[in-house]
Amino acid sequence: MAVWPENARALTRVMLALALAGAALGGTATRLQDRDEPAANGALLERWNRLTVEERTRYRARFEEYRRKDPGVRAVMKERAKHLDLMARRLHGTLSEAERERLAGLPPGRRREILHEMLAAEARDVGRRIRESLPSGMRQRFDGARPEDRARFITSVRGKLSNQMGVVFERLGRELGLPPGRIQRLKDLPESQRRPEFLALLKRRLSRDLSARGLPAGISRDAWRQLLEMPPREFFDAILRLRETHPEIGLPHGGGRGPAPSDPETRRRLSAMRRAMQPISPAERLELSALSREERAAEVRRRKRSRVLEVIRSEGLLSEEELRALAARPDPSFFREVRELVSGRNPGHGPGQAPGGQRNPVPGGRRARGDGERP
Amino acid sequence: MNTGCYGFRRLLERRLMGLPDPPRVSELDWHQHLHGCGDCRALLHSEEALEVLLASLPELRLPADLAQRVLARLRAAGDARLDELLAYDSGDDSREPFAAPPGLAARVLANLAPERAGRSLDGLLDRAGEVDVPARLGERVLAGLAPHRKPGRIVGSASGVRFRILRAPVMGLAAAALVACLALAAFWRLGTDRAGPGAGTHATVIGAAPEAAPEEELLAALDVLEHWELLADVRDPDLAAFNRFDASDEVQLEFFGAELLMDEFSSEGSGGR
Repeated sequence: MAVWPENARALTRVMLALALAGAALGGTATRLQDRDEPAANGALLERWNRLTVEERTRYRARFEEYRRKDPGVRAVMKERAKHLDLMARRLHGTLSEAERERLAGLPPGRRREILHEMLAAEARDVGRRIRESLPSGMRQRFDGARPEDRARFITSVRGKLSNQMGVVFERLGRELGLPPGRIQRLKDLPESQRRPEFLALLKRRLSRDLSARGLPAGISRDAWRQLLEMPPREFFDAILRLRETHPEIGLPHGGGRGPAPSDPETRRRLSAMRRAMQPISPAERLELSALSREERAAEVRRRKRSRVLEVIRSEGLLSEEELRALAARPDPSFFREVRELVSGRNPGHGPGQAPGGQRNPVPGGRRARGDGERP
Repeated sequence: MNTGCYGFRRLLERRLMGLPDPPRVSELDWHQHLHGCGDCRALLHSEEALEVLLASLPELRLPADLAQRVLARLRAAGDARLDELLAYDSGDDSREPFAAPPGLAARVLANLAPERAGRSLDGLLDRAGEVDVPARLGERVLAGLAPHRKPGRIVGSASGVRFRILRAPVMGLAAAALVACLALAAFWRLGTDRAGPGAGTHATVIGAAPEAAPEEELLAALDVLEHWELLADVRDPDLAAFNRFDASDEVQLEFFGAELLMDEFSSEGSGGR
């Protein structure tokens, strides 16, 4: 069975990207630190001074809009901006030296366009992951909501999550053997402090659980140790991505997505399908840099369709006739159908069944990664 | 050497010979070619250096009594035709002019023909072969020029030193215009061609009013402003989810979300909004 080498390759890629991101982080460490420390106003001013007059005008208009937003929204925007920076460094870290030189050699406008597309595809992928972590009823309401209602809906969900943080601390504290007084102090922390404490506690819990159960296939002790050395925010960024191909990484109860499929063959199929549906790599996008934005988007969709169809064909998941029917669908319908197929929640057919009544190719599948590019 | 070089050298030759430029030639043409051609620049510099060198040589003066001494020596040697010849030179038109030997003009022209053929500048240069530049010629030329230079001028025409090539004042104006154009182009390029994220250029605009310093709050939000297009998108459901849930929400949803939210969800019946 090809589980081990495939997983090992996937993990090697992730670890390499993390290591390179670390190196890139070193190169731009001052930039990141500068954002966290008020003393670094000089560096921020320097960045401001590098902007063109047009960019400064645009940024000032954006700042006025930003200032009018609710403080809670502003805090989330700031946190997400840091997440985008982290993503950008990680994506850049996956490029080879030659590819980085090629990217640097592009005309400035085209380079910004490519970087923006890479980042947007990743951000959409994370957004889809979050959406699909919602209970199905909530997800359907979220997807069906008008854009102006979505913000209210998310505020409501965040409120519920915040309400449940006490329950989470209780559970994690008990599992980690924390004294009741310590658990109570955690529950009483202000909102802004509870969140980092939650991440740190969950990291400890996951680490203990995986040490006891054994590391998932394809993850070496060294790789795991490197992951554990990361700060909680970066640690979970890596873990959430790893869970796409290693759904067994998680708590025994399975968390928001339920337990991972126990059958290794099902897990392998699920991982293969999810990999096929991941956004195209930065290197692949860079290969398409000579195309116009529209041509590139079309080519990205074509490549992803072809990748997904290849996995379905090689795994024998659908008959030739069903495969042809799927391939004939337009992009939005094609990707929606494949996501439903992997998640096993296609309303058109019963649980565990593919379109046309065929058995679901990944019966343990609960959700799939997105197509990463708006069809 | 290309067509431009031939054209330039032909013009240079005309200037050296004191001939006027063709009417279509502007001073800027000279500089346009010189700007891109190192060989012609070197040639021009060597011509200028030669001019300077020649101009700096002391003027030869014959001793005042030389003519008398030569004549005395010739008379002493018994040249009977001497005084007759001198009389022709004295402007005495009453005498019979010398008759030129028959065929003299044709012979002179015939002898001059090869010389005329090689009179073009390139022909002469080709025939000249390697030229040994005197040691420290450049330094000596510059030292010779120093007393004649006027401060603040790139190209000068000092007294006693004649620049046949660059003496026209319009040349200086053309050069200044060229430098100004290049500087403007450079400014324009610097202003529009930023090197990418975190590596841009200063947005300096000549004549623009000085910009107010950015507020500290604005600087603190710079990362948000840079990613605004992604962060402010609420129409795309995936981006909306990415933008409004923070890292802690994401992890909580991933590891506990459905279970815990379902508790709340079910306690609200079909509510939740």
